This record gives sequence, structure tokens and C-alpha cells, in this order.
Amino acid sequence: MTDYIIQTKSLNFRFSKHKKVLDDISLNIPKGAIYGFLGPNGAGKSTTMRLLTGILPEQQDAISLFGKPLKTQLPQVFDNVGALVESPALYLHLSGYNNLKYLAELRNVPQSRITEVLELVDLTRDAKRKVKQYSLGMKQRLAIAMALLDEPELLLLDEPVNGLDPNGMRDIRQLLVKLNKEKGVTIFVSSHLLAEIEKMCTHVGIISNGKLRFEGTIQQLSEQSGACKIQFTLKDAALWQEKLLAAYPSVTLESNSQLSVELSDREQIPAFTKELINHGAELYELKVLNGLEEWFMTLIRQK
Amino acid sequence: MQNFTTALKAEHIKKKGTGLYVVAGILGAISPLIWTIVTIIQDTPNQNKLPYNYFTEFIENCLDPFSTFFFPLMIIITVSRITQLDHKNGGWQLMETQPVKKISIYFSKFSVILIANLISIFSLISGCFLFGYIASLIIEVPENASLSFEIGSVLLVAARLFIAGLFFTALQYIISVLLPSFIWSILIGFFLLLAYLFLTAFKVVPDWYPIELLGKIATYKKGSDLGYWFTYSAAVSCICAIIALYIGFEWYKHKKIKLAFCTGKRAAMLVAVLIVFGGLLYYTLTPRVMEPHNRTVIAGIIDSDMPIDKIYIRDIFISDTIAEITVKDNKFHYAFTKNMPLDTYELALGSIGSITLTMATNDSTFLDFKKRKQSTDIALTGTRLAENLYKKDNQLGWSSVNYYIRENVYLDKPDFITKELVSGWEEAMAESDKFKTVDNYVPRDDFKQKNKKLLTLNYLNMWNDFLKKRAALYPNEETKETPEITEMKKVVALNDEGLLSNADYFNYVSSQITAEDTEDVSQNTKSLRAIAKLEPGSFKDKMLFKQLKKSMEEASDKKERDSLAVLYADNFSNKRYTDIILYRKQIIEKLAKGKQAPLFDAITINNKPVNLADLRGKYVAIDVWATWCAPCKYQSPYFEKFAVKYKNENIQFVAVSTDDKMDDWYVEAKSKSKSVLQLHINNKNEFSKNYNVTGIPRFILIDPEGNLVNAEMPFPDDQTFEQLLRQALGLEEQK
Repeated sequence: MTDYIIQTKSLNFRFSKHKKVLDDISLNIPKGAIYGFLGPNGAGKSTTMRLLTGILPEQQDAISLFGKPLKTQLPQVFDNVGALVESPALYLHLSGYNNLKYLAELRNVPQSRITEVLELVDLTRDAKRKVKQYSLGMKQRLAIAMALLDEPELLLLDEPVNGLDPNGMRDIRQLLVKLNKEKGVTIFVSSHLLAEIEKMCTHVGIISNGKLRFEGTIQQLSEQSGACKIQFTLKDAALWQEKLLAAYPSVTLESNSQLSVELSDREQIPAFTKELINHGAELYELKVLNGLEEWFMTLIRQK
Repeated sequence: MQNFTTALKAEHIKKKGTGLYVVAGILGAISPLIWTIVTIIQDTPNQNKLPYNYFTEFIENCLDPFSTFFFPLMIIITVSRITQLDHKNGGWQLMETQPVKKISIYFSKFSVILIANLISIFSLISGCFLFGYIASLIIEVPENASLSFEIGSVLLVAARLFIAGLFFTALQYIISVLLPSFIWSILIGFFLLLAYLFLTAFKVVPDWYPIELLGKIATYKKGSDLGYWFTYSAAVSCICAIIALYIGFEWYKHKKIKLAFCTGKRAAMLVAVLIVFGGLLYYTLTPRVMEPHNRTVIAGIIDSDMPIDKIYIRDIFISDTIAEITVKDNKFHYAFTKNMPLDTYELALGSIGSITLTMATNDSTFLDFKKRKQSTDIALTGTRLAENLYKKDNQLGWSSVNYYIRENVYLDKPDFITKELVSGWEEAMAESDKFKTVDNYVPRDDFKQKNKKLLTLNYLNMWNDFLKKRAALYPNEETKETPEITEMKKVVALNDEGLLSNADYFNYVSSQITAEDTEDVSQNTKSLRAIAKLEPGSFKDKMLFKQLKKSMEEASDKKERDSLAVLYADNFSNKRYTDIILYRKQIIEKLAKGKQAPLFDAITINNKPVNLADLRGKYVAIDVWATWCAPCKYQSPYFEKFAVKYKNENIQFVAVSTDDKMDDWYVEAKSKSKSVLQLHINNKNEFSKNYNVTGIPRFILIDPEGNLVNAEMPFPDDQTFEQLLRQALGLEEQK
């Protein structure tokens, strides 16, 4: 049996009698996973996040962390959990270093750790500056550093790459993957953009309108999403479209020199390419178009 | 607990750079700074006081601005700032995702505020010492002021301030934590602060009002009357703070009031807390009444720079001595065997003077009397604590209706005056029950009843004055007595012996029983005639005594006094009154105009003996005084002014000192005007007896033959003094 670090059993939550924000959400986050929690804005991601951290009091006893009910473990459970919920909570009048020092004092962490995490998020040079003067990305990185301070077993990150430039996003992703690989940290990360986290997650949960639409590994996700779509650039695209139409009815002309086609799975790509070359096509580029994005969009549009 | 200290340490990292404690310190030091400037600018001359501690008094003077303004202000600011640190930066959520208990988070922040409170108080006190010391270099410090560090009283005032501030701090704190916008907590804080001003003006401040708890520190600077460290207000502050913090914390912990208090267990807990602490609060706020003692006792400690070996308890009404108590080793103790009705009694301290006290049978009273030179400090405790303190508070306030009647305003509108009079009376009745001591003691019911009668009396006398004025000005118009006035009259019976020590009551009864007598004779005569017709008994005796004594004193000659004695002296049921009246008559006659002034011996500043007889050939104006007597010192410059003005006339101005300590007299007498002959009396007791000296200052005028012109002159600041002087000297009236 797999060890689940976070488990919710039919989690429901309502702010008022008529408005059910979460409906029967059952999450299973295995130990060692990077779990991407996806959903559009207002789907219930933050509410789930706040319930998992106990910031919102639970209305039943549905949540368990580390195999024990959450309610009974508050607040000691945070010895092993680093959390970043919603907008980063930082004391703007303090320096980055002092923000970390404050947490180090609260969590009883040695001061040496502060320099380590500063290094980790690349804020060493700006440590003495007041957070007030930080850019949005620096604030986000500092907030992540604060979540990492106590070397937690579990990281709960709510939209951690929000507001970062592509470089910053990549750095954070790399950092998270590294932590996951080297230290075995389980990471629960929420986002409203699939592309943002797809590359690093091992598991995915998709929520929309308060209901869980999908949960599983990234492989299961691509399997579920079904066909594999490829796009290729070649000379005389229109001509080739006609030629291929008989064998592949899904061929469409994307532009003068581009065609796309849907194959039943990835394994067919090499055969299809070979066939194309053998027939004398002058192929410039071949790109696997992910079907996930579109599938994701249909999933979250469900009512 | 470790969790809490961790949170507290972390809070101190968080508040870095906010200057929270510095602001607290500055706001604490403002009051002493202001007071220093005031003392230096005003530089008021030293008032005569008992020896006191300069710094303790300095602190006490700073309590008014500090406790009801700067301290609450500091609390409002500190609380708002420390909670805003987390509201602004999302800190509340951050703290909740740390392995720290909510109780530690909540109370570590509260502790920071309490530390700020302590810093502010410490800053006030050290500011007082620092600025007080600087001021002492600039202004002159009285020699009876000690400049030492009085640790006891400093600690006491600090502890009292800290505890009194707890409730307000807790209240501000729970509001600031629950409401993320800073404006609300500041608005509510200032509203409470300002509301206190007009609530005080309307005299409707409840005892538990957060600022009132602080205000009490300024009102009762010395604290408890009974020597407790903490008064009931301190307990109220603690209890209210506990209730507020309980509710505030639960609310914070569960976020929603419904979650915090509406589930079964939490609701039960809230009810339990409210019952226990609410009950405790109710018990603490309930006014206390002193239980009677099993005997009637008076005891006390005398600490005086003049020897006091006897204490006399006198009935104010006839100045009859009820008890003569010997003071031994500066202490006295006496148990009364006689029945003592509830009344105001006079306690005479040897020859120094007297104080009044309220007591009755089965009361135990303790007097703590201190005296240095002119200043005295009197503290009366015991079973009539509240009653004896009430007296000081009991001055009838300014009343508009009294003003109208006295100044003849609106006399043509009887309905209006009557309405005002009745509403004034009703207000006074309601007010009369409100008094309580700093220790929450209220007077006993018997006293309250009597006090109500006395207050009603004031209004009835106003009513009678009004009727008289109406009758004179509008003889043809009727002034109707409303049912409310009848009600007032019912409160005061016409034969209440217990009220007779009050002069107003005597006047009231006298005017009521002579109302029908329209004959054109003096009020004294009418009154005597009416009293004579009363039923025999002690009430009649007392009325008659008072009236007869007055008539005797005001009688123009011996013949009139003789006839009064013949007509009424035997009318008493109790023959003791007859004796006293006849004795009074004798004294009055002895000191009557034209009688020979009793002789006395004295010495001058140069130690030369003088007898009154030596001064014959000139008019002699005598000022009887003593260095410790403040009213004497007030009159003496006026007396000296006349000495200079009339120095070419045939008159000698003499100041006769009755001081026990020759040294005191010598120093002061030397500095006085040379136009006045300074004498010190040799035998004070004999002099007092011969001249019937009941109090000083006393002014006597004697003619060149050594006969009395006036044995009891008005005081020199009164115009009639000079008129009488000029009359005797045969000078024209001044224009």
C-alpha cells in the first residue's frame, strides 16, 4: 500500500448554506510525489489549501496529514510542513534576513540555516535590504525560502511561481525538483496553468467548480487525454494533405507549410515519420502537440 | 510555556525598527515634562504642608494627564501598531502555519503591549525623577520636602497604573485583532477616551468604564483609605480584562463568533466563564457597607508638633462635652457608655482646634491626626468611613434656582421657579446616593436618610424664602404649593431631634411654627413665643435653648436679657439647659460693652513684662493669634494696615500670641510691622476663659479706661471693623 502524506476523504466545505465551495473532494498525495493541484481561478484551490493548513477550520474530519487527522495535530504538524498560502506573507518593514530570522526563532531553527536558504533562492546579496524594496519575484522567492527554512517533509505551495519571469519560474521548478529528488520532500503545489507545472509534476489533481475532475500520475493523465497530435512542417503541405487524407482522416492544413495529424498514440510517431520520408516528403520540423492542454480545458469547463 | 517564550522572542524580532517601545517611553515622559514647565513658569510659593516627599508629589501631579490621556493614548497607538504589523503583511496566516500554539501567538503579542505599558509607566516615573531633579535646581524646594527615593510609594503607583490599564489594553487588543482595519480600533479607542469626558461631566461614568478605572488613579492619588495596595477598581480591571481576553481569544482562535461560542462545549464554557467572572465582577462592584461594632469606641494616634494631652468630644448643638479623653504616648482610646444618636460631633484637640465627625452608637472610629505648624492631615477611618468622607463631598453645588431666588430673577413666574426647585430637589435626592469611597464603601442607610432630610431642608428653606419674597413683591397674588412641595415637606418632620445640630433645620422649624404669627415683632420674639407652646420634651428643650441663646446674644442690654431669663429660663424640662443658659448669660454680661476688660500678663519681644493695665490711656485693639493658625495669618495684614493708618490716633494696636512654642512666635513676631505691639500671653488658659475665646483669630477693642468697647469685633477684612473703630475713636464716617 502506498504511503499517503495527504489524504482527504470526501472533503466538503461551504461558506454558507447555499454555496458549496468544495464538493466531495478526495485527494491522495503519495509520499515523495510532486503533486500538481490544477484548476482555474475560483475553482476551490485556495480553499483546499487553506483547509489543508488549518487556516480555515474544517467542517468535518476529512483531512489527514501523515496518516493522522489534521485537527489533532495542529499546530505541531507544521514542524514538518512548510507552507506558502496565497499572497506571500512577509513583513515589509523588516529585511529579508530578519524575516527569516523571525521564522527561525519561531521554529527553533539554527541561524546557519538562514544563509543556506538565502543561497538556495539566490537572495544572499539582498538579504539586508528591506523587503519593502524587493521586486515581486524577490518577494516570491523569499516566501519560498521561508517555507523551506525548516527542511520540511512536506511543502504546501499555493501558486509559487505566480508573478515570476520565465527564468525565475524555471529556477523555482528546478529547485523543487532538486529538493524532491535529493531530500525526498513531498510537494503539493497549486496552479491555474497546466503548462506551468506539467513539466515537474509526478501526480496531478484537477479541480473545477468545487469538484475533483481528475486525479492520477502524469502518465495516466496523458493516457486519459487519448490521442497524440503531431504537427509537421514540410514543403507542399496542401499536396501532402490530399495524399495523407485517405490513411489519416484527421489531417488538417494548419498553414501553407504546416500540417497536423492525430495519431492513436505516441508509439506510432516513428512509423508515421518513416512512412512520410519514404514517400519523399521534405520534412523540416516535426513537433508533438500536447493534447493535454485542450483536454484540460474541456475538463475544467465541465459543469 | 516554552512555546510562549519562543513566540515572545519572535515578536521582538518582528517589531524591530517600529520604535514601539520608544514611543511608549516618550508618551510616558510627556506628563513630567509638561509639569516641569508648569512648575518653573508658575513658580508657586510654597504652600504650608506636612513634611512630604518631593518626588512622590511630583509623580502625583503628573497622574492626571498621564492616566486619563497619555497612557490610554499610548495603549491605543501601541495596540493598533502591533496588530497592524500582522494585518498589513498577512502575518496572521503566516503565524498559523507555524508550529506555534494560537494561545502563544495571541498572548505573546499581548505581552509585548503589556511590556510597552510598563515601559511607559517606568518612563513616567523616571521622567518625574529626572525632570523633578532639574526643576529642583531652578525653583526653590520647600524645606519640609524630602528629596529621597520613596520606593514603596513609587512601586505602589506603578503597580496601580499597570493594573488599572489592563482592561483598556485588553479591550483595545481584542478589537484590533478582530478588525483588520486600523481605523476601527483607533476610532473606538478615541471614542472611549472622549466619551469619558462628558460621562464624567454628567456624573454617569460606570465603575467598570475602562478609562474611569485609570481615572481613579488620578482622583485617588494615595490609593485606598484603608491601606490596601489595591482597591476594588484594580480587581474590576483584572476581572474585566480576563473576560475580555477569554472572549477575544476564543473568537480569534475559531475565527467566527458562531464557531467560537455556539457549539455545545464552547457555549457551556463561555457561560461558565461569564457566570464565574461575571459573578465575581458583580460581587466586586456591589457597594459595601461597614457593619456596626459591638461597642461605641473612638481611638486614634496623634502626631503633632504641639502637645495635645486632652481630647474632647462635644455635642455641636449645645457645645456640651460628652467625653474628655486623655492622650497618652500620642495615643488615645475611649469607649462611650452613653447612647449616641447619629449626628455630627465636634472633636476638640486640646487648644489646637477641632474637627467634626459623624458617628452613632456602636460605631468604632479611628483618627489619624498629623500636624506640623499650620498644616494638618486628618484621616478618619472605622465604621463610619464613608459618612466621614461624604461630609467633605457634601457641599451643595451651585443651583440655578437658588440663584434666581437670591437675585430676584423670575420671581414673577412662580410656576417656573417651583418647577426648577422641584427638579433641583429630585436631582439632589438621586445624587445623594451616588457617593462611594475609593474602596467601594457607601454610607449606611440611617445616614443616607438623614442626609436626604438635610438636602430637602435646603430646598424647603429656598421655598420659604421664595414665599416671603413673593408675599412682599406681589401681595395680591397667590403662590400655590404644588403636590411635590407637599411631598418635600413630608420628608422633613417638624420635630426631628436628630436634625437639630443643623442650623438650617432650626431656621426651618422656626419659620414654620411662626408662619401664622403676623404681629409686628422680631423673628426672635415670635420664635420664642411659638417654641414655648411646643409640647415639653427634649425637642422643645433644644429648640428653646438654641433660640434663647441667640436672643440673649443679640439682646441690646442687661434689662432685655434679664426679662428673657425670667420669661423662659425655667421653661426647660431638663434643668441642665437652664444652668447652661444662665451661665452663658453671665459670660455675655461680663464681656458686655462698658464692663472692665479682664487683665492679663504678657511679655514683649524684648522679654519685658506688660500688663493690660499698662496700656490704659489709649484705645487698645487686640488681635489674638498664633503662628500655626492660618486664618489668623490671613487677617493680620489687614490689622497691620489699620495700625499704620491710625498710628497718629489715640489707639494702640496689639497682637497677642497664644503660641505654646515661644521660638515660633519670636521668629514670626520679629518680622511683623512695628506699628503693632507684639505680645506673648503668659497664661493662655486663664485668658481664654476670661475672654470666652472659642476660636482664633479674635479681635477685641478696649477703651482708654480699660473697659470693653467690643469683646468680639468682626474680622478686619470686613468693612464694619473699620467703621466700629472710627466710631469708637469719634472719627467721621468715611465717604
